[in-house]
Amino acid sequence: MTGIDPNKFVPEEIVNVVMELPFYPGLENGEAIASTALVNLASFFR
Amino acid sequence: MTNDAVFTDELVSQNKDKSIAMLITAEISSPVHIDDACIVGVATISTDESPEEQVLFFNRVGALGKKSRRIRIIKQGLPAEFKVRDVEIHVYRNGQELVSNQSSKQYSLTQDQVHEYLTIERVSRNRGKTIDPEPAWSLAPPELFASTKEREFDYPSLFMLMPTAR
Repeated sequence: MTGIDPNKFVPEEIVNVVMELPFYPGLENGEAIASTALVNLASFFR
Repeated sequence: MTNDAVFTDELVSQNKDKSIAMLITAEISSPVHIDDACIVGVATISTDESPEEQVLFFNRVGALGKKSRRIRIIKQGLPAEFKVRDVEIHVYRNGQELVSNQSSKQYSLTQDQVHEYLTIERVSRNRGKTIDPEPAWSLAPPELFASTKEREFDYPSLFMLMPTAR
């Protein structure tokens, strides 16, 4: 369901949190679609 | 979070002529450490003049943990005579509501079930729209709620998301 770009370096602890973070899916004309998103976990604190 | 008999209301007469307050109490705890939590509540009251009126209250409760704490919130400036019809209490952190036993929606689901639920909710609330994916921060892993160190999590990460199969 959720994956991380293998070309980017992300510490293991961050990966573990990322893999457990639920997402609202992207929609196209009201339909859920496969999509990608660039998200920084630090946004949680803002 | 627990509220005895849905809510506890108590009238505190501070000045017989003017000021009437409502005391709201609740037991609150969290299975994981949560830093800097706030309570936002809505009390529905009725008076002779108004059959239904909503009163907001707010209280910063700080850190929450497994040990239950009793919190007291005094809402002042209420009419001289009123009846409490209902009290809703919500727990927030960083502007995001946390799921509690007072929430209308509670999660005890597998990760796949949570994703399916989020997909259904997203689709039903955004019919015909095209919008980007976004994290469900209120359901974030406990590591995030337990930390105040934003810098430890400051890594732009590319996520690949798949829709739930119908």
